[in-house]
Amino acid sequence: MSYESNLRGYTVIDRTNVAQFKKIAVGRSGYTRRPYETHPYGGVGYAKPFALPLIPRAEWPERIKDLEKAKARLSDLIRGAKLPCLNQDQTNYCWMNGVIHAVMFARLAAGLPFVSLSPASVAAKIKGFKNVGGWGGEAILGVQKYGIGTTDLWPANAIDPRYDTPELREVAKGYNILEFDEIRPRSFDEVMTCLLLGFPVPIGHSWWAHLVCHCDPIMRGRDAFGTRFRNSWSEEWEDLGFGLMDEEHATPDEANTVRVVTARAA
Amino acid sequence: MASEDDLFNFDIPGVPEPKQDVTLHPGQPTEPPGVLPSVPVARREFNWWAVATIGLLLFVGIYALRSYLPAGGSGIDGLHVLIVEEKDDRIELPSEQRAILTSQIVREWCEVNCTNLGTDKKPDPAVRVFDQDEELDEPENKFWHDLMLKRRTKLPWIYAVGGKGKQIDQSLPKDVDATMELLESAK
Repeated sequence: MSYESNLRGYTVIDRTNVAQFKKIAVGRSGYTRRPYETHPYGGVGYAKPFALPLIPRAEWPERIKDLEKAKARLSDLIRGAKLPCLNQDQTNYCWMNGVIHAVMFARLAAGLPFVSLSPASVAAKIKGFKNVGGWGGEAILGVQKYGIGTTDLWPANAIDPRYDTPELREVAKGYNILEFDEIRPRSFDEVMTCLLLGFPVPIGHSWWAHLVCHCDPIMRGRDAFGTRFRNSWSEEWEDLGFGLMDEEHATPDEANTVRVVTARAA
Repeated sequence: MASEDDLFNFDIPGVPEPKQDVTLHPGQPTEPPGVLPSVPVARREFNWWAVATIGLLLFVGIYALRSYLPAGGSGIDGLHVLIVEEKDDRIELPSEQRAILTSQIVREWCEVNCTNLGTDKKPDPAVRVFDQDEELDEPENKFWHDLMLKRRTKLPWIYAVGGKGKQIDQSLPKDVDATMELLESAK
């Protein structure tokens, strides 16, 4: 079946323009390659290895069409709820912002109300209050260890131990991840299976030295697929913070999927 | 075909027959000549026992339904919608049914029609989509917690309770259109 998503004229990151996207990421990213030698796939223990059967490629076009018709993509929910886009600003915490985006999307999909969560409340503690890069699994381990603070108690990008109060620690326990799956490196099919099922996927891209949260599968024509993601460069970037990638560039160097989060309302 | 007499035969066991004025003998005409034939009188006494039994059954039935849903129909403050699923099994759902779980069409309807659990500034429409293993803190989520404890025969399952219409407690419909129709009936 041939089908094409309505991509509304926005740029899809592919071979023709990737240099330009690499250039604008300088100083605004922070993804460091996961050390698979010491942290092998399936061997870290913070998430279970991906175990669902894959949705065959032949089914992708029909499924994408159904999602678009029913306005059932995560981006439909995000736009509908006017969920704000994170902005990592001057920090190197893209690896945490992408994972926090995934938690926000999972909360939204569960119908939970919006709560402003602070990426720095976790990342700063993991990195000893230094503004340095990291990888997705590190972010997940940190979230599971500390929970996520809210921005009324710890501003989103503040790298300052004074915010680490007993009240913040107590509140952070209510915002955690209960079920994560680890996606096999370089498996675009696993990424697409998760996205077709409505599970957000924070992906670390070595080519970009950046981690962003992918939310929708897209179809660019016959047998040409890709993804829509939300960047952590505020709503000013591209389409309210959403960008598009072709299959080659969306193929993960490291990825996880968030399935169940703590159901705390506010 | 039943005769008119049969139709009016309201005999009640244990209630004696009224005494006959005329003793009948074989071969004797049943009525004296010139007298109109007697018609059995239909006894239409009000059956208080039957009414009381039906009333009791109705009371027990309504009580059982109220305890089956958390607060029961009008006892809930406004419409609440809950879909319970098993996320591991999402892959087995037909594509059109899977779309219901994250459909913005369904959410928009719920924003308008479900009760607001939050404030005007921070709205929280009473709609949730939970995995069956979701851990809910009971004091904060008492309503959802109790609803999640109910027995379901299959998944995904939908509840739409507390509205002025039907109280919904059934398996999830096949697509978004059918779900919208169902929700409209619960409004």
